[in-house]
Formats: sequence, structure tokens, C-alpha cells
Amino acid sequence: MAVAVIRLSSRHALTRITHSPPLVRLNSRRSIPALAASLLVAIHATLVLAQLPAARLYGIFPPGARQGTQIELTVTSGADLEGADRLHFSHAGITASQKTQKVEGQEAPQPVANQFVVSVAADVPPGMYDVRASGPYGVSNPRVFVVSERNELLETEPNNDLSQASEVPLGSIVSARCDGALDVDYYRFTATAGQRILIGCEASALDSRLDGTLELYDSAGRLLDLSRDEVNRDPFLDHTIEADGQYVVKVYDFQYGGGPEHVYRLSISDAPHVDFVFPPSALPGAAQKFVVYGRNLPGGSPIDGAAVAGKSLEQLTVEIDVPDDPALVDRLEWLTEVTPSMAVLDGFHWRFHTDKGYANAVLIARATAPVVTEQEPNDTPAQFQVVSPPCELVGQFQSRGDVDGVTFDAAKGTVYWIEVFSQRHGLPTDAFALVQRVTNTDKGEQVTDLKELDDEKTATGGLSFNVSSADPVARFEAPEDGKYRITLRDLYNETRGDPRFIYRLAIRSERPDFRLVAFPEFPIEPQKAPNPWTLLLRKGGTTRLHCVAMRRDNFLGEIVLTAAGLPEGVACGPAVIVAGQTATDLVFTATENAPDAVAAIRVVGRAKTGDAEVAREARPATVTWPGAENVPATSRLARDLCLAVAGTAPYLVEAALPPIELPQSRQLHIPVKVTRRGDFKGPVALTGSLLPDKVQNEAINVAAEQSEATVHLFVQQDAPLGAYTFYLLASAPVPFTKKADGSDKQNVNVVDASTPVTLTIRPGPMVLAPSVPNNGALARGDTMEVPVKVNRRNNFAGAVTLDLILPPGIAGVTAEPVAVAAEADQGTLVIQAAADATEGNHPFVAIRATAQVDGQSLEVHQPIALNIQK
Amino acid sequence: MRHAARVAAFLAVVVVGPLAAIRVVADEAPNSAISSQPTLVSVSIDSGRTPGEPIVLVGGDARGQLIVSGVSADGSMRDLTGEVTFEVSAAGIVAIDPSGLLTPLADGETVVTARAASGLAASQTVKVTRFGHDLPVNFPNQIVPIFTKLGCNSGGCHGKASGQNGFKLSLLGFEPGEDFEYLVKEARGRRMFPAAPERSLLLLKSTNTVPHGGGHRLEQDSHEYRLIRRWIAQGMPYGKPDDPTVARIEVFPPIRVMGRGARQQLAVLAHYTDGSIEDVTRTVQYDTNDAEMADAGATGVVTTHDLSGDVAVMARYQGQVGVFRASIPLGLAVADLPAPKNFIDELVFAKLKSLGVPPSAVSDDATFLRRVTVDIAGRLPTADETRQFLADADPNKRDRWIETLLASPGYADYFANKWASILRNKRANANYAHGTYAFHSWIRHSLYTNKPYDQFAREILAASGEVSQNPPVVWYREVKDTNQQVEDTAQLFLGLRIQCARCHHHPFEKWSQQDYYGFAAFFSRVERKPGAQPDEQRIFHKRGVAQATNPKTGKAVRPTGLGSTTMEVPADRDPRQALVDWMADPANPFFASAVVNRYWKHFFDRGIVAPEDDMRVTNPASNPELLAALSKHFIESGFDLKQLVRTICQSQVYQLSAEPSDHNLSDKQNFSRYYPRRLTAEVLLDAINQVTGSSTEFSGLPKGTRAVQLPDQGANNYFLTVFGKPEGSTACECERSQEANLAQSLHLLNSAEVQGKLSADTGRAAALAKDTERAEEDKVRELYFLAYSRMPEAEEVQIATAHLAKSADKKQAYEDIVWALINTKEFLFNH
Repeated sequence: MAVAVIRLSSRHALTRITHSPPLVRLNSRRSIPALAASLLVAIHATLVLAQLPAARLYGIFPPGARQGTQIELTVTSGADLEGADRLHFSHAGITASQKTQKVEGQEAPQPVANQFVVSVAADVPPGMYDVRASGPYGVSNPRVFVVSERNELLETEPNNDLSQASEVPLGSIVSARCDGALDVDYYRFTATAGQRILIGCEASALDSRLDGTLELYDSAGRLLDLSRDEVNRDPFLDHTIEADGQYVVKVYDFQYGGGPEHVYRLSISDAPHVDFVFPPSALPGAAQKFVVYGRNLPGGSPIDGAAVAGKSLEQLTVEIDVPDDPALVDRLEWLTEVTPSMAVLDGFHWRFHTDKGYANAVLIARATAPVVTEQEPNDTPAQFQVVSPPCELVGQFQSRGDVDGVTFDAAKGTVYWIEVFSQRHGLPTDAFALVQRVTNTDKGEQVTDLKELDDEKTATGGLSFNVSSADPVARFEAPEDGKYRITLRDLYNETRGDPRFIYRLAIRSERPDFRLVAFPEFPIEPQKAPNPWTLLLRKGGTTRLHCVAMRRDNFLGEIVLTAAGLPEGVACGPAVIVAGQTATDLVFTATENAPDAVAAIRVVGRAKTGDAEVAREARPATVTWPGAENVPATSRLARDLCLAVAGTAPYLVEAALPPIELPQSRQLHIPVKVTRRGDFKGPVALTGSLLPDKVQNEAINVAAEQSEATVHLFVQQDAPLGAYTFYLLASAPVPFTKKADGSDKQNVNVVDASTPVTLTIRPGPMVLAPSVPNNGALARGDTMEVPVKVNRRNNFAGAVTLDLILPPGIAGVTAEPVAVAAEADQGTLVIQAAADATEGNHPFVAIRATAQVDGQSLEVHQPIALNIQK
Repeated sequence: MRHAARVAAFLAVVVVGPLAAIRVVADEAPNSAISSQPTLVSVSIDSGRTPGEPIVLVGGDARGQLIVSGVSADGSMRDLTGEVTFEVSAAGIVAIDPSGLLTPLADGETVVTARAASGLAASQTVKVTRFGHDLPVNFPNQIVPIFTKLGCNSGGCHGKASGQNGFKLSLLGFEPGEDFEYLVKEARGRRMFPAAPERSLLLLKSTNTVPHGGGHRLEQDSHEYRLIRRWIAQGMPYGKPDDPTVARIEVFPPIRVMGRGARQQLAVLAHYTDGSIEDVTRTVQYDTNDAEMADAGATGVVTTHDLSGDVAVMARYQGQVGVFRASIPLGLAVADLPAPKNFIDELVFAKLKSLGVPPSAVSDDATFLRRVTVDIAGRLPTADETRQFLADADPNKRDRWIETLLASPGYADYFANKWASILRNKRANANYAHGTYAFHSWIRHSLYTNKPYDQFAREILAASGEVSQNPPVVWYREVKDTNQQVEDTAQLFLGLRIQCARCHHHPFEKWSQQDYYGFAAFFSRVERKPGAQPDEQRIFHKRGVAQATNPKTGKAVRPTGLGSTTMEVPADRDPRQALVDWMADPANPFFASAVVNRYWKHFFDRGIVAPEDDMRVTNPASNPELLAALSKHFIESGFDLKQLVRTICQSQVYQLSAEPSDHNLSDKQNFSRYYPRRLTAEVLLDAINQVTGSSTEFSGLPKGTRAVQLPDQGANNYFLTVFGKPEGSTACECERSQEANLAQSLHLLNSAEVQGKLSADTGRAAALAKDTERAEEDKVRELYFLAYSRMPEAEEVQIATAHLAKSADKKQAYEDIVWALINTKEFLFNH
């Protein structure tokens, strides 16, 4: 077996990838793309897949274009993109067609693999969009495509040392990449004394693997400045030119990684740049005044003392319309990258427009309560600002050692949510809050610590879309009438301070609510190694969409999810995120004759919060790069949710059960039907997935050629009540080849969901406690007396009839029904094994109790294990 | 060995010439001046007490050491203690032996007179009081020091953690309470027999009366023997809780100029907490810091040997230490000193004058250029730089070149290489690389921009946050636990090794566990959260009051700077900031001197205190005034590292020739010449690449990356390993091995790597062979510029061109020459 040694960029790791059948070992979050990238064309013939092919897109070039232009775009890296002939952009103004060329001997021009001609309409607003590629293996995950209003250039190699530096006119953007390992790129520009030159290098924001690093040199080769991880993990340089002349910018990956996925867009200009706006949040409604802080702001005035890394900032007051669109609550309208921790925010992006064009976009959040502005000095308890919750204090950790604080009065039992939003505004901050109670005694002021609040360590989203952040959040209930104090600081405030470090300290009333994100997960053990994946529904099969609820303010209720905008032949039953849980999967099914499609779909979750019915649309998301084992993946919100219908599923598992209600203590036998297609004849392994707590699971194997089976579940006496949707997870080795002639088939482990099951668990009227003698051993022709205690509960007090029920496939074991009167709590069943009773261990034989509960006949079960012997 | 065989003759000549400049083997020092000692004009008696006052011996156990000195006309003093005759005016009060040791005999007062052979004499009144009073023996003050003196409680014997043969004592007697338990109570008291004290196992063993693994340690009926016997007879008292304890000890004389082959009696006084004084000369333990220079006997006699220079003798008693410093001049006239350029020259030359050691001459331009370029920028000068520098007639060209180097990226590369190693920027696995690259980049940029050293230290020691935002937090990844943080901080930034005090009192210093844990308290609130990348952490101050527990007392200790007072740091404040405040205070005695000493070593191969990170009272500076002046200069410059380098390199002392004069070859600590040393692994590899016109590729790093620029130890390279590149496992510069070994020689002479560099088609030899424009002489000259930064001598050119002339294969002939050049000591050494 060939061993591919691939140098990964190494923000992450140097990883050696060895692949051997049947699974690719995933050591690194970036291993799959790396593999695919280097072997894009060749690999498909030899690699044994872990799952049926599904289109994935890892790299495009160039990753952007100017408004009103047409460019050629190459798909440089991906997987299962053979025959991909379409690109889908998240803005209708961007369109693409596959490039064609004349081929000798062919009349019509022939398509060129991986190459597209992209047209950007003149009215497409500058910003970031998503592009996906689609073909026989569905529609891929998205990659960022940027539309600008500036002069766009493409990198020209060689530019690997100072002498080869390529000229970049000021105001231009260069689309480029660190090609191959160890590539270093040089650019030069001409500037005049006094010009404030801003150099940006978008990479992380473009789904690039480049850990971009910028260095600025003068013409004598003297290093003037360097930068990395300055703005959203990307570098940014601000240099005021001292002398007219040529300057050189060096761009490289911090650990010298390179390859087709190491793209970047270098911008060198004296155009405006906005660092932040203040306040960073506002209640929706009319136009409001904001102060814009930034550099090269037309009409801006310099601010004394406000400097970041030694560079002064300018400010400008503007009026911004804060939209009051209810849709904003659901859809976070954005133009830049939204990381998982930011995905819980509500807000909108705003851009400063000048005669030099748009500045970069900034987020203005929807405030959770009336906004109060920090009043410095507020560093010591005596100076702490007095506020009246509910409110949202907005401020800055602006200087080293900065500590901000508020005091407020609260009556005993008053509940507030104390939540800081700072890192979730895309900042490297790490807020820390101390909640104290202040009492006045005859000895003076007494201060008692109530809570230290640091990172919000939620596991919501798992490793695929980990929404945890360094922002604190906690529920506060005033223990007494009195005065309370919150001290807020950056956890590292003794080593840093920065006017850009804005925060919002919400002290708000409890308002249970939720937001949703939805994204496809790699079907095999996504909880350990998330990967970029896509929503591909094969005809006659199923696919899953992982939906995650970000619950707020103690909202625990169940959320019912439905999908809309489904293409023809596709169905998706509702799925429930169970009370208190944070995730479920929506299962889509396609009929065997559903037409090929690529559709943007929507998922909506409905729930009752208090007396109100609320509906929230799920925010689409995507894993951009895998994480190392047990390390969160790199993920972001996507700009749309795309489902493709393509190909034919090798099998379908139907859980043939209508929605069902069961009491606690009750068996459930799910009849399963397996439909195999093509030359797949093999066994299918099944096990319950997303089952409610306290429901006993069973893993079964449906043998080759067999098409029907039963999965036995048992709803235990303490199973939590409520509505559930779950499915059986099927896994089967399916012969597969990509070759048109069907040759060289190899087994692929295809993991898919069955059609879903809807189950509602109701309170059980009783629990049966049988005493089975001899561990259930019973000889053919013999009898056994089983005393059964009936423990009534949930206000049930009636009479009960006991008997025995057998699971399918067992015969010859019987028991006469036994009545247990209302006042009695025990009966004895006499179990008789006929001479021809089915031999062997029977774990699913159950004692049944039937009773009239609230005018309905209800039964509960208690499985007993019988061992029928000769 | 094909090159070796072919060019043996050539090599012989090349090597012999330049090597004269870098002899490193000591030759004979000039004859000592003992025979011509100046005539004495007077004699004096001292005992370490206030001169002129009577010596009071209290109790029968008291002792007194007299020191008799002869004073010459020039004021110099010489020890006569062992040479004079002592007389006592009133008999029966005290006894005095020929070594000047007084023993009381009865209460009373008498006068002791010391008379020299010349007849000169001096007298001292001695009083004995309370002779008959059998004062209760105090165990910690009187008995435990005997064990230390006799070596019973040394680390190799009963003092080791497991004890010896079932009997344990605390190391060096730092825990008298424990010793008391071991001796008196352990083993059911079988070690003591108060009814017949001389039959106690303790005395029987130590006198080897019954077989003792440690042999005969204690003389029967010696002073110590009698003291122990009396203590046992008294029922083995421990002493009262309010008994005085030793506050400090004082060594007399503290400093002396001594001849070679001379002797000096010392007296040591213990000052107790109640103000009383005891002569403990015979009970303290003596050690010299340089046994090549002097010995110190058990009775407190220091004997110098044949070397000149400075030597220190440490006296240790009850956890206290004192030092005697002797200066042993060579005694030659020091004239024709170069004109001092700065205070370094003044102080070093003053020292050389006082020692009578004449310095070497100032080196020539070529030597200076190569030396300073290696020392500041970690590389050889290029051929062009050499050509220009040698041709430059500007008298300030040396200073100008220093400025050029300081402003160059090479300075940042080389010193980042140095700092990254002792800051333990180590790659434990592939995940670490992001952090090690970031930390290295931060160190390099800090040096490049000349960040003040106090700020540099602060940003590391008080680092908080996440790697990408604040790379110095990486220090806390490698320096994981509090002990390591304490010890690395002390060693790296204060020049103190306080490791010992973690478990017991420091044997050579005053540091106790209380000091150690007071220092540890600064790090007690360092906490970690998972970082943004695997194997990275966010470091932060966990809110709370900083304190550490002294395991000996079980009590909490608040943050305390070494030798300083306890600080009150509020729960919300990071005590590490207070630590750096204390360190960076201009009054801090350690912080500035540690780094100037470290840098001094960088440029001179030996610290003013050596080893450079083991600064302590008992390891004194060879030139304390120089160390103090450098520290002061550094503090006054605002902790400016480039200014420190500038000051050192501009000095005449730094620019002295490595060629020894007739008299300074044996000088190893007074900087009378430049001490040559092998190029470090990285510099040597880069130098070979430069001369051979090749490069070494390091995996994962762009082409052209030089060895001194490696961000961490991730790039495995045999050459660097063999030549001793450190792994960044400790805070000690000693991890870098500058030792010579056979593997190095073989690698340079005959390895595939070096052969490959020599014979590469793109290499220097190939290029020179192809170059038909220039005369062979010019090309040979260029090679000498490249390798040695100097013009070749006529003979060298002649040998090389002759070799070329007789070789049919020009490329191979040039390979031979390059091979020979890089295998010389002139190439391998910075000199």
C-alpha cells in the first residue's frame, strides 16, 4: 500500500497519513483535505472509501473577483468531484458555467474538468459569499468566494525572494496562495511619505489553511513590522510611510505549510479600515448614533490615547439604521466569517461607505436589554457604575489593568441572566466576572463573593460545531434584598488592554428562547473526528442533517423541527429535540424515482416558551476543516443549506412503525424492512440511535438475503416522558466502484439512517416485579410458577390482568391469564412449556399486565428471560 | 580520508601558522616572588573581634583563634600565625598552641604575646570567665556543627535522605530537631548511654572503637569528643527554646593579597541572636572554590598553590556561610596598557595591575572583525565585508561595525537562538510547533526591536493568555510545575540556583526552605485552561491570595523575593507582576548582575562569576567591581541589551588578542586576553556552508534557513547534535556542549555530509574551479577571507597555488583546499 507523506500546515501538525483498507485513518483535522488535495485526480481509483462518495470542496482559485467582472475559477482541491459541472453561489448575482474548449475530433467544445467561468454582476455587494460545486456525487460543502470593488490581481510566481517581489499597485487585492510546502511570497508597492498603508491578508476568513504571517520591509531590506493573528486569526499591518519609496511585503504560512488550500487575499491600500463601532449593540428600531473607530477614516478625527499596538485610531460619529426585522432574530445576516461561538448572536453587519468604497464589515449585535454605556473611571468599587437591570452595559477593556464594575440593587428572588459578550464578537478577549453581595453593617461595608464567572463551557454542538466560548454566562438569583456588585475584567488584563476589546455585560431578565444551527455530519463517528460533509440524498435512501439547539435562559422545552423547500420526491418527517437535550438529526428520504436536484432548503424549529409559540429558522453551518481526534473542528456558519438528490442508495431500512405512544415499562418491537438494490446482497447491522434515555437498545444483524427483522426495545419504568424521534443506524459493507464499467468493486462501509420512528412516552400505571425461579430455566413439558408483584403508580388503582406475551419467532410457551384485583398487589402466573416449545434463551419473553386506565385499555410489560431446555 | 591523504603536507602548514594564536594549553607561570618578600615593619594580632579590646573566653568550652600578621612598609600584610612564638604572661589562665589556638584553663586575665623571628612582637589581652561553670550544652549550637565538621551528615554519608546503615542525620545539620530525634530517641535510645557517656554508641562508633563504616572520625579526648561526652553526661539536653541561635558568621580576614605557595590562618566568629560571639574556627567546614589555586584545611589554614588569580574559601556553620577571598598576584609590572575606552577597561586593567598580570596586545582588524561578527551575529563575515573592513581607514570602524551588527537581523537570530534554548522552547511533539515557532518569533522580535530586558523578563514570567496572542505563555507549557518555575526563574533571571532549598537548606547559601517557598508563592496562582490548539494552554492568574506551603513547617508562606520582605498581594492581582516589580527594581541585587554576567560569558567564555548562573556569596566574582559597574551601567541604560553588547564589544578588553603574552597564559579569570573557543554547533554549520558555498536544508523550513535561525529543536540534524546544540531541556547554558570529541573530528574530516558540501557541483570549489577570469592567488585569497576573514600569508598562498598547479582536477584541488581550511583550529575557533 502506498504511503503518502504529506506535510500539513501546521497551525496543526506535521502528519503522516497512512491509508490502508478499509478506512482512512484520520489523525489530523486536516488529513482528509490534505490527502485529497495532493491526490485529487489519482486517488479515486485506489482509495477505499469510508463512505459512499459525496462531493467535497476544499480549495478554489482565485477565491474572489471584482464586481462586474468575469473570471476563470479552478477547483484546486476536493474529493468526489469527478464530473462536477456546476457551481452554486449564495448570491444570485454570481453565476458560473463550466469552461469548455475545443478538442480535436469533437464537434462541440468539451468541458474542462474543474474549470469554470464565473460572472459577478456589477450590483453584487462586496462581501463574502459561499460557493459549492455539484456533480454526480451531489453538492459539496461551501467555500468562501469574495466579491470586491477593488483592482484584483493574481499572484505571479516566482516571487520567492526579495529580488522577485511582484509589484502591487496601491488599492489592489492579490489572490494568491503559498504553493507547495515552504513557499514564501514577496510583493512590493510604492508609497509616499505620510501615507498610512494598511495591509491585510485574509486567509482564515476564506476557509484557507494558511496561518498567514506578514512582514514589511523597506527597500534596504530592514524589517519594519510584522503581524499575525491580528484580526480574526489573520494578520493585519498598519504602517505610516516615513519616506517615499518602495516597500516589500512578505507573506508566508507561520509554519511554512503550503498547497492548494493555502490561499489568501492580500490587500495593500490606504483605504478606510474599521476596527469597531461603539456601542457594539443596539435595540432594534430607529436610526441611532454610533462611533466608528478605525484608520484612514474620511472625516475621522484622531483620538488621544486610543492606540492599538502603537497605532493611533481615528473616530467618527455616524447614524445607523438598526433594522427591526423579525427575520434578523433567526438569520444572522453577515458578510464575514461567523465562527461557532459567534453563531448564538443576533445582529447584523454594517459597513462604512466612503468615496473610496466600502470599509470592512463589522457586526452590530441586537442588544438583549437597554444599552448603557460604560463611564470611566470605574476601576474601583467606589467608582463602580450604578445600573438598573435589566440592562446591557457596553464598554471596553481598553488599557492594561483595566477593571470595570457595576453595582445594582435587587430584591430577594429576582432572577437575572448575567452574560458577557466579548469573545463572541470575534475578539481574543477572555472575560472574567466576579459577582458579589454588598451589605452594610456596623463594621462598614461587608462584601461576600457569590460567583466567579469564567468560560461558558457548554458542549453544545460537539466537536463539529463547538459553540463554547470564553464569555461567561450564569443565572443569578438574588439571595436577599440588597446591593450587588459585578466586577468585570479581561482575565489577562495585567498583561494587555486594547480599545478594540469591547464587551457587552448583559444583566437581563430571564427570557427562555433558543437558536438553531444545522449542518451535515460525516456519518461515521462524527463525535470523534468531524469532517467537512455534505447533504447528499441518494434515491431510495436517506440522509441526515444534524440540528443543534443553542438554548438560552433555562429554556428546556422540546423543539419540533421541520424542513421546508424540499425538492420533488423528498420527504422529511418532523424530528424532536427532546426537552433538555441540544441536538437531533432530521432524516430525509427520497423516493426511488425522485429527480436529480440541488436545492436550498430551510429548517424551522418550533417550541413553546412560556405561553408563546416560537419558530426559529436554523442557521446553516459547515465544517470547514477536520479537527484532530477529540479536538473541535474548524467550522463556521454557512450562507445557505443545500441538499442534493443524486445517485441511488444501495439499500433502505424502513422502520415500519407509525407514530406511537407507549407507557413506561413497555416493550416495543420494531418491524424492519430492508430493501437492497443493485448487487448489494449482504448483511445489514442495525442499532437504535438517538434513543430516549432509559430505553433498552438492541443491536441486530439482518443477514444477507433476509429482508425482514425485528428490533426489540424496552421503555424502562423510569424512561423520561415526552416525544422522541429516533432511527435505527444501519451499517453495511456495500460493493462499490466509481468506474463506469463497474469493474474493481470494493466494499464500502455505508452508514445510513433508517426511516425515523416517532415515539411518545407516557406515564406508566404500574411496574411489574416478577420473581422468576431457576433463572428462567424451564424444561419442555414442564411448568413454572412466577409470582408477579404489581406496583401501581401514577394514581392508578384498578384491577389488572397478567399474562405472557412472546416476541415473534417463539412458540409453545403459554400462561393462563391471571386477574389481580384492585386491592391485591400480586398474582402468580403459571408458565407452561409445551413439548415442542422453541428451545433456547429467550430474552424478550415478557409478562404483560393489562388494565383500564382513564377509560382506555393500557398494557405494560416486564421482560423475563426464559431458557427452554429439553 | 581521501582529502587527508592527498593534502597532508598542505594541511600541516596551514594548521601550524594560525594555531600559534590559539594555544590553549597552560605553560609554566613565572617563578613566584615568595623569596623576595618585603621587610616587615610591624606585627599585629587579630581575632576577628574589635581590635584593642580583650578577648573574652566564656566557659570551659570556649576557644579563641589568634591571627598574627606581619605588616610591610607598603602596608601589605602577611600571615605569621604559624611562624611566631607565643608567650603567656600569667600561667594557668589560657593555653595556646603553635597554631594560635587559645584554650581556657581557669578564670582570670593574661596577655598573650606573639614574637616573630625578627624580634617584632605584638600582644593581646585574654580574659577567661565562668570557667568552672559547666554550662548546659546546647545541641543545635554545639553538637550538630561537630557532625558537619566531621562529615557525618554529609550527603554521601548519614546526611543522605536514606541515612547510612540505619542511622540518619539531617543534611549538613540543617534540621537539628530531627537530628536530636535520630540520636536520642530513635532505636530505643541505644545510641546514648548517659550513665557511662564514653560507652555511648555515638562515641564508640565515631572513634572507631567499635567497627564504623565511616572509619575513625573523632579523636578520643579531643575538644569535640569531650563536648559530646559532657552533653551525654548532662542527659542530652536539646537546649531551651529561647537559647540564642546563630545569626551570621564572620570570617577574618575577609580578604587578603597572598603570595603563591603562601598560607593564611583564618578565624571564624559566630554571632548569636543575643549578641554574643563565639569563636568557631575549628568547628566550621572550609571549602575552596578552586582547588587548583588553594587548599583550606580543617583548622582554617588556607594554602595557596602556584597559580595567580582570585580564590575564595567558604566557611559553613549552622546554615550560615562566610567567605574569605584571596587575591594571588603574579606580581609583574604591568605597563603599556592600551588606552581605556570605557569603564570595563579601567576596571579590568586595574585588576590586572593589582595582580601583576600583563594583558595581551589588542588584536588586529581581521581578528576583531571575525570575532565580533561571530559573537554578535553568530556568523562569519562575508568576503566582501572583510575586504571593505580591512580597507577602511576610519579609526572608528570597529565601533561602526558593532553598530551594523547590532542593527542586523543576525543579532536577533543569534541571541534568539541563545535565549530560546534556556527558555526551553522545546518541541515535545508535532502539536508543539505552533507554540515554539511563536515563542521563538517573539523572542527574536523582542531582541530585534531591543525590548528593554526588564520588560522582556516581565512578559515571560508574568505571561498570561493564549499562544497566538501572547507567545511567551509557551514558557509555562515547558516549565510546567511551580518548582520548575521557581528554579528556572532563579537560575535564568537571578543567576541563583536555589533547587537545593526545595528539600533542605541550601548547603552553600543562606537560602532556606522558607525562602524557597516564599518565592514559590509568586507562582502559586498560575492556572491553565485548554488553548485554541491541541497541546496549548491559556495561562492565567487564578483569583486568590498567593501562598505556598513550607513543607518543613507546614505553614503558608506569602510571596517573598529572595532576601527580601514578604509582600501583600491582593487576591485580584497577579503576584507574578509583583515578582517582576521586585526583580526589575534597580536595587535588586540579582537581576541586572545575572544578565550582565551571562552576557559577559557570551563574549568572554567565562562569566565574571562562573558558572554564570550560580552566583552566590561563596562563589564570588573574579572582579566584583566590574560586575557591579556593568550592572549599574545596564540598569542606568534602562535595561538596554544592545547597549550592554555595545559597551562590552567596544572595550579594549574584548578586543585583546587571544595570543597569550609570556605571562598571562595561565590567566583564566581576569580577562587579560581573549579566551578562544570553538564555534557553537549552529555557527559552525553555517560557517561551513558559507565557506563551501552550500546550504543545509532543515525539514519543514524554507531553503536558506540558517542553523542559528532554527526556531526550535524540531529539525533533527546530526551535525548539530554532534557539535553539542542543546535541546532546550533546562534553563542552563551548560546544556550546550562545547566539548570536543572524536565524532566531531571524524564528521568534519570524513563524513558524507561535509564531503557533499565540498564536492557539490553548485559549491564553492566547483565555482572557483570554473572561474577562469581570476588568478588562482585571488581565488585563494577569497577563500581566506571567507574562512578566516584575513589576508593569507605569502607562504599560505604559495602552498595553495602549488597544490593547485600540480592537480589535474582543479575542482578537486579546490575541494582539498577548502577541506583543509575548515579543518583548522583557526576556522573552528572564535579567537
